[in-house]
Amino acid sequence: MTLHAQVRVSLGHLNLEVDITAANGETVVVLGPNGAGKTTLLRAIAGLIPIDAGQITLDGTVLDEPGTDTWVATEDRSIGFVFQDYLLFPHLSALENVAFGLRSHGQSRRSAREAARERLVGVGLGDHADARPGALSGGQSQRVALARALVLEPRLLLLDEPLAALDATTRVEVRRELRRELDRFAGARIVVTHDPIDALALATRVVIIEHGQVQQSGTLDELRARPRSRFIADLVGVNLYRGTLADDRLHTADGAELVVVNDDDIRGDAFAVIHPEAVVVHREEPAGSARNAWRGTITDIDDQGRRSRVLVDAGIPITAEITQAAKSTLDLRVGSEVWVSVKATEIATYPV
Amino acid sequence: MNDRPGGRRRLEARRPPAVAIALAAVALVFFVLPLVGMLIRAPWSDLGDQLTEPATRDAFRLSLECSLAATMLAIIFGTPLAWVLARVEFPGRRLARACVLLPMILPPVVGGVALFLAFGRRGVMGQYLDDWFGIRLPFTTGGAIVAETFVSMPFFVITVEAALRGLDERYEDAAATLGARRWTRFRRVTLPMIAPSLVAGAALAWARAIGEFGATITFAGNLAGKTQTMPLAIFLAFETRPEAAIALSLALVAVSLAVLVSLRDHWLRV
Repeated sequence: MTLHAQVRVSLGHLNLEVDITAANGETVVVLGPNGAGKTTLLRAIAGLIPIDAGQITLDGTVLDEPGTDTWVATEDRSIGFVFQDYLLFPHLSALENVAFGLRSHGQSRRSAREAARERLVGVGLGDHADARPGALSGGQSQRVALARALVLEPRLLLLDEPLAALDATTRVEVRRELRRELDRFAGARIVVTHDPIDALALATRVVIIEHGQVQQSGTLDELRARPRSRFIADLVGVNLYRGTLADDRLHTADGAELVVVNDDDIRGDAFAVIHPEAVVVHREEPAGSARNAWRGTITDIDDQGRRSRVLVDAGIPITAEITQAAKSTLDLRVGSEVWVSVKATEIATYPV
Repeated sequence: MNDRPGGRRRLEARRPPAVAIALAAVALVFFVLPLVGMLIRAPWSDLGDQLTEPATRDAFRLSLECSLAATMLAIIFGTPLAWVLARVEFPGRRLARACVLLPMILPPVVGGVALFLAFGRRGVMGQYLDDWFGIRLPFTTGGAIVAETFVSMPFFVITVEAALRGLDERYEDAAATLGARRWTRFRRVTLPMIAPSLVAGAALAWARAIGEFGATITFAGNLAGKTQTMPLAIFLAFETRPEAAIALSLALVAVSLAVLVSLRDHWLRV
């Protein structure tokens, strides 16, 4: 089962122009800042808004195509939707929420309730079957919302910011549960999020959209290896520079010079990417083999468990990822004068 | 003066201003006093006789029938109207809403005159009702119901419309993704979610209908057993038999209080 969607929608200031595919067993994460058009994309796929141009097909069936005036209503699309704040019906119990879709598809009250109860027991909420949504925690609500969508065995599952409504403490746990649930679902799934950590945890493939346009798409490894914008580089946490490449030198617009290994003999406008793990921080001027060494000042230190990300202003901004141990040995603080070095072989270049 | 922290000044700062208290007390007395007056002057000894008199019973029955019929009509026509006003974008929507709300601020007598010009025997619509269907509204119980519906439906419509506007439409979207068709979405999601407002709106409309006087007497007349509802009967009796008027008034107060109390816990925040 595969979704092919070419979505063209104009809505207020937003001009959404996104092509997206999702195949069985795949979790496609749509990542982008707020207002990029992510929710609108999901709503168009689900048929909650019509597209202005393009085409949406699921398993070869055209669901929406303005060109041929084809339209399949939301209720006939067999697409599950988990909304950002779950939108459990507040006047119905958890059980009745899960049974709602089965009842809408014509099942008897009894068989719908039985199937719903089985689902709830399956996600560990058998004890909460009679609870109203108001009495459920965020994580429990999410499981009910997921059960409500999955009990209909949809062909495609859409999740809009499934973790945004949760507080930080439950998020980690719920994210892991969600991952398990998604893996168990055989169809294709599309998850929308603004949080790169969610993307890392859930994605088979990532599509990054900004201002209604796809900036880049690919697996996370591909994005880390060759980000094509500052936004993406920041999301995946790598240093990205853009400049003019000639022989083994990249000259950035701010006048910095990077020594690189230009095996493919690229010329002209190019990107250079440096992974923070490859950046070495020194107290004294380094005398090693590294071809790139700059003097600079530490402007920020971000401790992440046993690692620290140290941002150095060295004419160009560069982030180094070092161990906490190294940080204390070198006595690094914001404002410290340091040297940073990168071997030319650690810098990947590719044309714009 | 005592300036110590925790002293008189601190206590004074927390106390509500005396002027507000005094004015509020006056307002409260203003509401309570008429009720007290009615209770004091009520002909308690022959209250039963006053209320079981045939003319009184007719008026009471007519009031209940007409007000309930008007409330039913308000619900049947007012719910779709509220939905259209809340959900459908059309040119002139603001004007339409203003027309719906007009009877709330229009003097009821004027409403009665307007109804007469529309549905009277020579009215814009009334002549055809008579010619084609043989329906005559003025001076009939039907006319009393129409008059009460005219003044009470706006209360139902604005209450329900506000609820529909406040309802997150995405709940209906969620129902659609679960395979629910339009009517199912309305019946199983929209209606239950606005149920408190439906009940509150119906209660308000009913209260307005049972108290209706001006439009009824102007449009439907004052015919005992046909259009003479309680307010009309009370007004009439007040001239000639004040005890009867007070007894009838007490009965209306009792009914209204009963409704208020029965709805209080569940639906109204009183």
